[in-house]
Amino acid sequence: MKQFIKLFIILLNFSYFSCFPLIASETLNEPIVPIPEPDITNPELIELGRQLFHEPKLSGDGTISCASCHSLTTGGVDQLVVSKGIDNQPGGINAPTVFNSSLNIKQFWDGRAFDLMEQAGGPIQNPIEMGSNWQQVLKVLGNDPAYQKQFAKSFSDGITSNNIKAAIVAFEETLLTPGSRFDQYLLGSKDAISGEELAGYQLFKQYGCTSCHQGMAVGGNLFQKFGIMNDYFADRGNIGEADFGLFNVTKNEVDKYVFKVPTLRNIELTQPYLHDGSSSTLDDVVEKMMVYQLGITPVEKDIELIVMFLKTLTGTYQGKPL
Amino acid sequence: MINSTVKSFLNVCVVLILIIVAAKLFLSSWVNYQIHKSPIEKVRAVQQEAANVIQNTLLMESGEHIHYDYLATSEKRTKIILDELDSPELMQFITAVEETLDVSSKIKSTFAVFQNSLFFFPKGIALIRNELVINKQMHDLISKVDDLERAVMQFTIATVNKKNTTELYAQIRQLKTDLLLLPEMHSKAITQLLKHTEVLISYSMQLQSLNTRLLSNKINTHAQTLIDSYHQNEEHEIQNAIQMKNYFYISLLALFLYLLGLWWKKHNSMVIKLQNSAEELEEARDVAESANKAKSEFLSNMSHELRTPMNAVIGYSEFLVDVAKMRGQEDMIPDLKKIRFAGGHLLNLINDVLDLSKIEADKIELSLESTSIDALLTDIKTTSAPLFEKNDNRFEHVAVNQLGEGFVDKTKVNQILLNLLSNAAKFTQEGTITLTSERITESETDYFVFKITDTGIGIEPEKLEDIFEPFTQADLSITRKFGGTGLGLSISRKYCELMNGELSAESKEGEGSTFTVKIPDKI
Repeated sequence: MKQFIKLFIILLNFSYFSCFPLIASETLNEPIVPIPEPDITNPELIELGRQLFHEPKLSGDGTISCASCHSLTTGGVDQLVVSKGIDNQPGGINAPTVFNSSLNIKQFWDGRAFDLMEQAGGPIQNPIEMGSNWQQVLKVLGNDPAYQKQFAKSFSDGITSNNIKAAIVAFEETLLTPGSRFDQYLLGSKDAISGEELAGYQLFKQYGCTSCHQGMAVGGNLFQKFGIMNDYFADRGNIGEADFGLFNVTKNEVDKYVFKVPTLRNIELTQPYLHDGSSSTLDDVVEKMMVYQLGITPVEKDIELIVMFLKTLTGTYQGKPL
Repeated sequence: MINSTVKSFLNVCVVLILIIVAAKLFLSSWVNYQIHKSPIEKVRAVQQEAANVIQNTLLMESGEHIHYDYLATSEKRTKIILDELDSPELMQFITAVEETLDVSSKIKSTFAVFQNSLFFFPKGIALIRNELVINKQMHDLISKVDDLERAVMQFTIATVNKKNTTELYAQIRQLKTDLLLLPEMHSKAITQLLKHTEVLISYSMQLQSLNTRLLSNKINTHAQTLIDSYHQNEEHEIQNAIQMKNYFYISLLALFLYLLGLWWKKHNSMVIKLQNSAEELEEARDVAESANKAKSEFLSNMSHELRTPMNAVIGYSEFLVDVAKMRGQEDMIPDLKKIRFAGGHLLNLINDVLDLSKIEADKIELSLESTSIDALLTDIKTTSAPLFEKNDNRFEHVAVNQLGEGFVDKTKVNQILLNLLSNAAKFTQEGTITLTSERITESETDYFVFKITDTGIGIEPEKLEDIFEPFTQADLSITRKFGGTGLGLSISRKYCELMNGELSAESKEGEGSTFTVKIPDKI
């Protein structure tokens, strides 16, 4: 027995030392990757999540649901500079889109939530957003026989804050937008985008936009300082807490003005742009990026082409164009 | 009783404790063995993911197209496993991994900017050079731009030391001063280039230090320490588990032995009890056998030793009466008759005692035969007639119905009825003795019922059952007054019972008694 165990340990050691082969790296020919179709493994849970996502009872006064600020009909955002919470209270920051949010490396502009599970509880308990608390939410949902039934189907322990979040997350994970014209182009349909749009994409790469905006979500997988080449916040003025970004999470001076690079998918629909919602048009935001992030002199013709390219990133949800 | 309850309670307690100990030992041996398997696997998984992140970060910096999504997935996976590994001994390891992930993500951001500036820098240089050449004004500036380009390229590509940086900054400062001499449009291009130069220098230095941090991570060291300690622990736990398992087997054995002991004790006590009771039974049997033997011997002795002389006494007393009559010695006759009477009485007594003894020794055997009971009754009436004359009694026979045939012991029935009739005659003076005979059917069986009713002295109710006991008469004076052995009724009842019948009596003191004999027509 003892010898057998020793042999076992030796084998473990062996596997340990041999666990560093050259790890195959995923190389890419294009910095942007097509979005896959959502994976629907648990339709009941997703349906429950869909209902909760649209459920105003989750808010303190029963007026606001997740969908109030992340409407699926307007690109997953409210198209306001800053969102309005209960009692019309203005929020501190521009609402990021819920579409493709599961592809983000972290959640919120400042990345304070590790994943959607961590994010989902945030707005519900934020006094200026949905202004409620779990005790109240559990009570309200607990009084609803339809929810009781649905929760019982998906969870053994019924209605709990974790289960509410899990259902919402399960739904949000299906909010992918595949099938954009640009994805079609990437997948081999060379006619899916026009020559000008393709030229815009070439410029997008040449200017170095893809240094940050890359991957499936064309962003969302990197943190970057806003205003590398020129001081954006000095030019804009009126610096608030929301402008500090990652600094608010890490309290580390070098993380000041560092934000999660936002996704450019469906960018055509998610105006106004930037964390402060200061750009109402794509032309304006591309110009800002050229000045503050790339440190180059903006060229109007190039901006026009890049914006044309950006508009090819609008995908579909449930088979219909957004 | 209390003692045995306490004992069994204690036994149950001991058994329960042993079972609990065994179960606990079994569980602890198994659980401990399992606990330390998963952390090692998780530490290894984290190690592998972290290695993946480091490798891909370095590949990305060397110009490979590494997808951020790919790195991000690795980071996420690592974070998820790290969250599960929340234990104080892992703190150093977790901190090292988290720092590595942080450095890697900073390298990503820094490198993105650095790359862009690196991409822009030659273009900026070319632009400025072009314009300077066109203006043909600042020939010395061109050489300075050349110097700058060379220095920056060296700086970014080759290993940097502090001297290079200082030289480079001096050159940039000099260029800045010279730029003031240029027309506005050119100075804008220069400013842009200088900004990118600054970014290149500072970000390149950042990357250098980040890379140093990335490569000098202590993940493997901490992981190795952890795994070593886990292995030690694991071996220790395995040893413990083996020991626990041994204890478990020992406790099981103890439990088994204890139960065996309990069973053996119980089994033994039962065997002893059985042995004892068997011996007792044997003794009792021996006693009973010897008693029976003695009784049988006594009975056979009685028959021979008592009856023979009694027969001689009776025979010779009768013979002597005849002799006395013949010789005219009349005065001797009363004395001889007394001897004859006493002898007859004694013989009767002996016969009765013998009969009773035989019944009690189960030596009586019924000689059953088909008999006409009516004829039997006629015989009895004839035989008993002299009895009634003695006390001037009247005898009546009431036959309710024909009795018919019966499969009975004729002699015994005869004896019972004669005994009862003689009793009735004995205790009645100038009265009436009635014999009622009847055949009845009760629950599918035919019975002969004989009722002997007298108008004699009667029996007290409380003594009514006593009269059936041997040697008991209602009153001690009765024996003297009426004679008799006091065995007749008990013998009669025993005979009735032998024939599955019954003999019962009812009486009213001073008014008379009724004895009822009930015998089935066949046995």
